[in-house]
This record gives sequence, C-alpha cells and structure tokens, in this order.
Amino acid sequence: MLNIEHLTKRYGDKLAVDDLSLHIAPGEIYGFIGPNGAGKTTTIKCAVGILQFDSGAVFIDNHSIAEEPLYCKGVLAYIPDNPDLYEYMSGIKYLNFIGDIFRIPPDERQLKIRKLADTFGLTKDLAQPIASYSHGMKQKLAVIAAWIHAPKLIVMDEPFVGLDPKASHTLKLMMREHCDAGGAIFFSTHVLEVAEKLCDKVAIIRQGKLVRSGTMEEVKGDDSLEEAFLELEAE
Amino acid sequence: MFKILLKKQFQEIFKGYFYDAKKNQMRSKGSIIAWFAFFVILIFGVFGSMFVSLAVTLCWPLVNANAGWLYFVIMAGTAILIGVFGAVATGYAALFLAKDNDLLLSLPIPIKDIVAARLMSTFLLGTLYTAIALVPALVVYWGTASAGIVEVLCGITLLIIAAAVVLCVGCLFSWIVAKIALRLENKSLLSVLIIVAFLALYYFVYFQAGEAMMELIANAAAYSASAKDAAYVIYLFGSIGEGNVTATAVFLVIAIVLVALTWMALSHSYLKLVTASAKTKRVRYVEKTASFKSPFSALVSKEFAKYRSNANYILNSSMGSLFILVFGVVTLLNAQSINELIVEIWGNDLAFVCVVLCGALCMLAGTNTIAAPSVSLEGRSLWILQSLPIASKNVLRAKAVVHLVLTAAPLAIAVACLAFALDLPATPKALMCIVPFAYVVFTSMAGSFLGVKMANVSWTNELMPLKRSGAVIVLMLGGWGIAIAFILIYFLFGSALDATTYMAVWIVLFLGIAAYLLHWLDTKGSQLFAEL
Repeated sequence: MLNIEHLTKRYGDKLAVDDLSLHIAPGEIYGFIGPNGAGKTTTIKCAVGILQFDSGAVFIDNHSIAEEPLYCKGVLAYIPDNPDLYEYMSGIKYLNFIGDIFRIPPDERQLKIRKLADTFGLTKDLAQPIASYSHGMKQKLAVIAAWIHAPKLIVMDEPFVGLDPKASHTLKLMMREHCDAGGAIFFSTHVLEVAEKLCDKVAIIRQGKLVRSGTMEEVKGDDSLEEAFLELEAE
Repeated sequence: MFKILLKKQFQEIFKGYFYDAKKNQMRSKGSIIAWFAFFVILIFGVFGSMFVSLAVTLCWPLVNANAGWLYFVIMAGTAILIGVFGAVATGYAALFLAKDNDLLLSLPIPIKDIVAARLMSTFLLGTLYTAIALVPALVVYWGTASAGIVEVLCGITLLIIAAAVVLCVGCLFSWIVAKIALRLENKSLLSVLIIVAFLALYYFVYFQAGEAMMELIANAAAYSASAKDAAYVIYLFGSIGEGNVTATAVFLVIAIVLVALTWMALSHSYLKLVTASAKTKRVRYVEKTASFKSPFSALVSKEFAKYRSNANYILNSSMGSLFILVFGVVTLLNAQSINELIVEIWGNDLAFVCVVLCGALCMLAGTNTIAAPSVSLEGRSLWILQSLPIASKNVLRAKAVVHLVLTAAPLAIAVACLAFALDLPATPKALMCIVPFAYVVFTSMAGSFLGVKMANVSWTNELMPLKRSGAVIVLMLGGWGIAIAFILIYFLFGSALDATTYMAVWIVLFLGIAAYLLHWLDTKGSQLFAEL
C-alpha cells in the first residue's frame, strides 16, 4: 500500500532522511518510532506529498506520489502532529469541506459524520467554531475528517497526543478495524507501549537512517520494545 | 530581559529583510542594505512626498505671519492623526493577538517587560507613521526659516513627542477594542464598521481641511493671534518646532509620564485581556444534509469564509471596493455639477475624460489586494490544502476568484452609476466601462502570482502578511503605477490613437497578461505552492 524506496531528504546541508526504505502492506498497522529530530515527521510529510524530497520514490497503491499526487492523495488520509485546522470554520463546515473535496455524496457523508462524531462524542460541538475547540477536540475532528472518505492508507503523526483515554481507545479500535478491512496505517509515536500492543510491524529511525524494521518479534526479539529501542539508542 | 524581548520583536518585524526564506539562509549585507533602502524610499519617497506639498503650501505664509507655531500644530496634528489611524489598525493585533503571547506568558518574564517590548515596537511603528508627515514638515520649515541647531533638536523632539502621543492614544483605542472584543459575537463585522466609520470621518475632515487651509493662509496673522489667546497650551505645543526649549522640556516630560502611565495601565490588565476567552454563543448542532459542492466551489467558499471571518483581512485588503462604491454613488448624486465641470475643464475633449475616469476606476480597484496575502494567510493550516487531492492550480485560482468577485461586484455598480450619470460619447464610454474589469482580471491574477511567489507562511502576527508583505506592497503600488501610466501615456501620446482604440489596446494588454499569469499559476505557480 505504501512503498518508500531509498528516500533522501536534505534541509540545506543537513541530511534529514538518509536512503530510507519501508514497505507497508494492506492490512498492516505500521509503527514508526525514533527519538526527537530523527526524521519521522519529515519522512511522513514526504510520504503524503506535502514535502518534496531530493531522491528516492514513494508509491501509494502502486502510484508514484511525485508523478500522480492527486491519485495518491485521493486514497490516503493524513493527520499531522499538530492539527491546525481552519479556525474560521465550524466543525461541521470543515467536515463538509473535506466531503466536497473527496466528492462524498451528501447522504453518505451525513451518515458517516453522525457515526464518527457520535463515536468521539463530538456531535454537540459540531456547530461551534473550530477556534473554540481544545487541542483534543481538534485532534478528534482531524481523525473524523481522515476517516470520512474511507481512505486506503492512513498516515498519522503522533495521533494519540492530546486525545483523552476514551478517544485513544476508540482510535486504536478504529485503526484495527480499518486494517482488518484491507486498509493500511502508518503512524509515528513516542509511546512505545502503544506501538508494542497495536502494531503489526515497526520501524526504528535514528538520524534519518532506518536502524531496524520488521515484525514486532523481529525488532524486539525477547526484550520489550522499550528495551530494544534504548539498546539501539545506546549503540 | 527587556533587551532580549525587544530583539525578538525586531527580529520578527524585520525578519524578511535579514533572512531569505526561500533560500533558507541569511541575506548578504548588500541585499540587507538594498531592502532597507527600498523600505526608506517607499515610506518617505512615496508616502512622505505627499506631505511635502502640504508643508510647502503652509510653511511660508504662516512663518511670514509669525505663526510658525500654528504650522507645527497643523502638521503635527496631521501626523498624529495618521499615526493614530495606523496604530489603531495595528495596535490591537500586535498587542493582544500576538501568537507568541501564550509562550511568553508561560516563561518567567515579568508582564511589564513583555508589555514594554510590545509598546516599544508599537512606538517605533507609530514613529514611522508620524514621521511620514512630520519629517517633510520639519525639513521644509528648517529650510524656510533658516533654522539653527536648537530648532533642529526641538523639531526632532517634537517628532518623539508626537510618536508618544500616537502610542498612548493607539494603546487606548486598542485596549477599548480588546475589551469590546471579549463581549462581541460578530467581531469581524463590527470591527469593519467601526474602522470604516473612522475612515469616513478621516476623509470628511481631510476634504473639509482644504478650504480651511486656504482661509487660514489668507488670514494667518489674525487666526494665529486669536488661537494663541484661546488655547495657550496648543500654542506652546506648536512652539516646540520653532525651538521653544522650555515648551519642549515640559511636553517631553508630559509625554514620558503619559507613556509610563500607559505602560503601567496595560501591564495591570494585560494578562486578563490576553488570556480571557471571548464570549461565544453556544450554537446547537442541527443535523441536516449538506448541499453538494464541486471541489473548486468548496475551495472558493472556503476562501470567502476566510475573508468574511477576518476583520483585518477585510480592512487591509479590500478598502478599494468601498472607495469604488463611494466614487460611483457620489458621481451619480452629483451628476449635473460633474457634467458641467467636465465641459468647463475639458471642453469638447470628452474622450480624454473617459480615459481619466477609467484610470481613476482602475486606481481605486488597484487598492484591493485580496489575493496577494491569501497564500501566506494559510499559515500553519497549509498542510490541509497540500495533503488533499486538489490540484494546486485550483487553490491559486480560487484565491484569484475571490479577489475578482469582491472587486468586480462594486465595480459593476460604480460603472453603472458613471454610465448613467455622465454625458460622454457612447463608444469611449462603453470602453471606459470595460477596461476596469479587464484591469481587475489582471490584478486578481497578479495578486495570486505575487502571493505564491512571495509567500511567507511562518508568521506569528497575521498583520505581517496583510500589511508588511512584499506581495501586498508590490501589488498595490504596481497596480497604482499601471493606472497612472494608463492616463499618462494617453496624455503624452494620445494624439497618435483615438481614445477608443487606446482603451481597446489596454483591454487586450490586461487580458493578455492575465492569461499569461493564469498559465503561470497553473504550471510554475502550482509547483511553487506544492513546495511551500
């Protein structure tokens, strides 16, 4: 579903991502972990087509993000680490904007919004301006906007930050449900316990380089993911 | 601590002069000097020159009538009025809406230091606005009255005192706006109405002032004597410019006390004002099926929503629409006298009148800069447009459409008023009505072009893209320049072409350039937008 091949991205002289390759198959929840400044967000932004890269290739559903960005963006959803949404819109207007962009028929859209907003307890706030939302409410709205158009691939940068425990739990269930239905999820996180329990596969990045990737067992062996991560950090 | 904060404020204000965001590196020394030279030329060369003629007109008669003090009262008063107008427009956002308020308040920094740094940058901006009118006034006076060192020093002090008054009055207005804003639900509409009312008052006074000036010049000595007796404090204030050292010292002390009081008062209520939540009416969500929009319509609607919600955006980028409407309605209401005036001035050369009116309409339309700051205003929300399956060209087109609609709609009314009211030959009049629309198509494309070419999405105060961005300045000054050139070229070389052909050529020219810019937006512009 998502193939990142030899991705390299520089900021001036600084090498942010160095020859990184990852393959995320349909049905997989793929965790992306690494210390601050390791290149996780840069990789994610390159993967979803909002950051140009210097070399390598990114394929989504076997289409190149560089050559067919509209197709790729049509089948993916992206949630950034800090969801700065349009504060001048109300929640429902934002969701309708997303619905219009993805050409979701109004009836189908209404059903999905009802279901997802109820799931996250956001229905009563949908008419409020986004400017009045808390960080967590914005995060919930961004999640609803991502799920509303039934993407094949969902890419998330630190999706659990700001969510309350119930919403976090709901999101985890939704992620699993999405992948069980044939979709794929690629997300970064600092919460290793979440990654360990939720992910089918995991990749660890350090200073822009992929240091280990594979199934959870392959990456952590007999240790916990935290121990494996700290061990790699110490190397 | 104050120094650190002040440095941060200046880095923010002049960031674009030192740092090239596109190349992600500091500018060279030569480039920094060139940018500052451009800024100084723009401020004093373009805007300041407008006040030179006023100063020249007033200075000699008043100095000759031994009323130099009155000259300084008028010029300093004008400078303060301009400064206050600028300070009110910028002060509220700069003082109370800065994006880094939360960060600074969370740090162990005394509030009075934060306020002092904010006040200092507001003071410097106020000084800049004030200097636009007062520096030409001082220079003209020094030349006319053969001023010595005392007069020069007192004159410079007058500038500082005037800027201090601007700061205090600007802060007072900003504080009132901040207090009102906490109680309002539809802030943007009311803010726009208040500022427009203020603007209307400003122009009313400005136009009335012309006659009053002539009267004053004719009877300078008599007015000076009676004004001096009636308002001795104002006389003292004006005498600062003439080199009255005692008055200078007294007013300087008063100014310092006023600034100190403003600083203390703001420090006292600052935390409450910047951290309080505005009153928001709870809107009950009622589920209903949304009407389906095409992706492009959704983008245009989004742009209109952004425009409607932001008073600063409306006020800073679309006053031209208001001017166009006023121009059309005033022409309609005074049709008879304007027709008589046209015949009196131009006689039978009515085709030239069509060119002049057409240029005037273009100039007013050129005051609108809606598309220019639009890309930058995406700010930290830019990721949404970049990650959605939307062609970047449609994003840029949508921004141009908003500019086009909001300028062309009042233009249509104004053009209808002019067409109905003025007795002008039919064919050039028809062209006079069409050229401004072609011009607006061109400026809306140029706005999107400059907006993406000179984008700055990493601002902390939205006034930066709205007021201080290169895109806005270039679009407005360039637009005015083209409108002036449109009249000037016909004035100089009109005999070679009749007015109808001349205007037809410009229609082709405007639409041709607009078509090229549209092509650029669809290709290179889209690429640039994707790389922001």
